[in-house]
Amino acid sequence: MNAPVSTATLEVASTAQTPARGSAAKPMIRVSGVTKRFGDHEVLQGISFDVQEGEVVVLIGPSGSGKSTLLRCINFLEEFQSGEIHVDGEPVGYADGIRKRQSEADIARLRTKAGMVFQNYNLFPHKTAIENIMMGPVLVNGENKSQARAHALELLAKVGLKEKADHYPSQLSGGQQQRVAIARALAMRPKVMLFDEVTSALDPELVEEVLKALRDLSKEGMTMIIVTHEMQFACDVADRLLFFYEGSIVEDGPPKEVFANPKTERFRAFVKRYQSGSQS
Amino acid sequence: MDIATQNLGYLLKAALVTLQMAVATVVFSFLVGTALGVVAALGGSLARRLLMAYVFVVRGVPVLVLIFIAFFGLPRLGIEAPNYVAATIALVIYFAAFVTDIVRGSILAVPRTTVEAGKAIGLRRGQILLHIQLPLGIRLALPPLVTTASIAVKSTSYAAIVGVWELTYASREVVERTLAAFEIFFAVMLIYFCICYPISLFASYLQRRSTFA
Repeated sequence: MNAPVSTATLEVASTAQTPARGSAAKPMIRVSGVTKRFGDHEVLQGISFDVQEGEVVVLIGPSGSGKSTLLRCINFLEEFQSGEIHVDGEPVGYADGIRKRQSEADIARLRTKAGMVFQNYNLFPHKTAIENIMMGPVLVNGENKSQARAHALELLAKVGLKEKADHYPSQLSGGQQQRVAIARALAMRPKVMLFDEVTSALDPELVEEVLKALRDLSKEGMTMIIVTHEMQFACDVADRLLFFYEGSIVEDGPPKEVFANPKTERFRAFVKRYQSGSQS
Repeated sequence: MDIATQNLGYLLKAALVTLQMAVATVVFSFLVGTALGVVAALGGSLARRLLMAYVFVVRGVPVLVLIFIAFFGLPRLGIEAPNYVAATIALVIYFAAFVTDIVRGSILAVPRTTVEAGKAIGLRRGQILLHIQLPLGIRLALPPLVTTASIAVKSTSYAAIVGVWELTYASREVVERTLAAFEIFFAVMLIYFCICYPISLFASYLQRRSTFA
């Protein structure tokens, strides 16, 4: 079993971490040699890394360094020019070996394996909280409504919003909306969860409730990739920290190690800039 | 006003023809226009360009000219259609273009991020259209669609020009007979209003129902 390693303390992460969970096993996410261009600008310059089952990987880096783009590639919300991405052993977007786009049905099915949570929540404004959560299970998985409803209520309880089930997004605070969005992604029983700057749009006092939901998930052993600017949170929750700079990964390791012995001056500079602001 | 009440039965009979043409025009142009609007928003580039050309052409042509073209053109194509059918076809072609443009714009106004959220939970293109883009788009489209529907109802009066016996045609008959232009046209105005008003009522009902807090 994959015991969730990080229990929200820096000390745990500090025990030098050669993959605690079966390194022989197939990685849950494999990104190999991914490049992505927007016009002339190469946003991802050959990104490669594996994420093991139950691992929590946090991506940090300056804006425009490619973190969010990579996350969107894993869910194939962005096409990429070369390289391969596998989630749970299956190729994403393009069939294995050939650069031919998969059928829409295959792409849609694959997306259910990776739950995505966005910076601006992106809830469906014409659906209540619980309808937002039930939509995927009912329409995509063909679950019957009462079953989907029961599961949705469970998930709402889990993110502490059971009493808000019948509220529309516009009646919820940003933090509440984001927690509904997390529940909506979880409703598809994904293998991995992708979080794209999920606290960046929130008022400071609402950040913690969302981070708590993420911590709870990590404790349950969910495989997660988190893009964030919350340094302290990154250190707390990450099994592994990846530092992106101009489309490449320039630091990779357990947060404690990366912070103790950064390989690059860029990382030092980056941390210095954030230390003043986001750490209390 | 006596003259108006004396002729009310005759006018109402003609109003029934107007109502039939209006219902046919609104229903068909909305069905056709919605379908075309979806294609114009999400279809292939050739289909999109053709539809945009259609919208542009119709925008630049008076509805009266279209009615003439249908009235004189259909027989040339070997189609023997009664004048009210020809006029209704012209009206549908005309108003479907406006509905196409409204629906297209409304679908494209649904934020890309909301659509992406649908993709992310594994929805297929058709499901995203049906459960996200159309329901959200319709809310945006409703006010302009109501305006279009009312204009469509009133535009049935152009059919009088090609001899369709509907409210406007009948009112001219009565005026010629009675020479009471003001009274008769005033009555006709009220009848048109009574046909159009329910559309506005229905629309505000829909709008109330579809607002989410």
